[in-house]
Amino acid sequence: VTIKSTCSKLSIMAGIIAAVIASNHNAFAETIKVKGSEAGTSVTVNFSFNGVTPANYSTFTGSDNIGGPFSAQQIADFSLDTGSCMAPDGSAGTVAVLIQSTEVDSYNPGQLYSTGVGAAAGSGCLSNTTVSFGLTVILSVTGGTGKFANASGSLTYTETGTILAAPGSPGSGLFGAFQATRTGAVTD
Amino acid sequence: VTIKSTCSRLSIMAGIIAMIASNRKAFGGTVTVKGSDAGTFVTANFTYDGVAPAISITYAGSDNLGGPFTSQDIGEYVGTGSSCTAPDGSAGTVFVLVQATEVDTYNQGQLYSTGTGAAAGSGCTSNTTGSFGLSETHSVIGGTGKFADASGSIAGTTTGKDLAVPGSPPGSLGIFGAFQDVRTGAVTD
Repeated sequence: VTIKSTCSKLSIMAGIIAAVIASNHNAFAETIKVKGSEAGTSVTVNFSFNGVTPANYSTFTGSDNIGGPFSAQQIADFSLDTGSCMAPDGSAGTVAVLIQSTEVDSYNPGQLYSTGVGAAAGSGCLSNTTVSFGLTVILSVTGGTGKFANASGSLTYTETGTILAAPGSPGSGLFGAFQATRTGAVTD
Repeated sequence: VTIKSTCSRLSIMAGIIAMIASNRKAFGGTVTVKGSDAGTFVTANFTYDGVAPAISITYAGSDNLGGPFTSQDIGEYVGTGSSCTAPDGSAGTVFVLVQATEVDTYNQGQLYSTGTGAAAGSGCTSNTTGSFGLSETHSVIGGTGKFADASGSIAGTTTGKDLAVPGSPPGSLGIFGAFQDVRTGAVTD
């Protein structure tokens, strides 16, 4: 009787677990404290979030503990503020603030989408005299595909870089390189 | 006599092998392509026809042609006004390829391919959600390294989503989106 009763209870438990798992994808959801790094380049493109200034398109690769190695692209628009700051190389600079940014990270398990809007989501410092710049950007995760279809949370990027080409008139645009670390918390 | 005959045969075989080795094309084989990739696209300051801007497409993937690769594609598309159903089930509009040029960079070399016109590419983009699907076939036009003399075709079946479409009407200030793609075809290298 005891064995039969135990087996019956185990069957019920297995049934409940199976039903919960099958009916609720979020039963597998977990929050990961993000740690990673990346590097790439950025160039001015024919895209604008506000119709006033052209955005920059960044292409980069890296690795983190959310999904391992990834390749990524980000479209971001910044404007220069009037405030003063110190660039990463110690030179005097001008504050830059985020207008808007959208990013896609492509991992083997799927793509992760994130976005941020306004100065509260991103700011930095661009040297007035050298090619040094630094940025901190916080993007909200807005889902994705595959493993990240229902992802949420936020990613914080701390970035330093160098402007490599900034042609004067009649030229235009910026091309630069950067390295960044990423932190945050993502629930998938 | 037997040893001499054997040595003679071996010499002939060695000669044939040497001839094959000197002719790289003798190693050329046709690969039935199987692979996948994922990436993003953004409106570029580039146009094939002077009518509309193309999009710059950046992605990474892996296939049985050369293993892992990174790619760039410059493609221009135009809406037709015809109705269709987007991958997410919403009502959409048919769009077709104007022209596209693609470079896949493998460890062994670069593979070049191109496609032109509606016969080479068509898809459906949602009128409301950003969801889109696309089928496109490119002719391989050579490359570098292992792919210097490559020919054949590569077909992509793509699903994706427009993630940023600023301006009024939406997208008039550019489009940024993401996609995943399955690639098939046959390539002779």
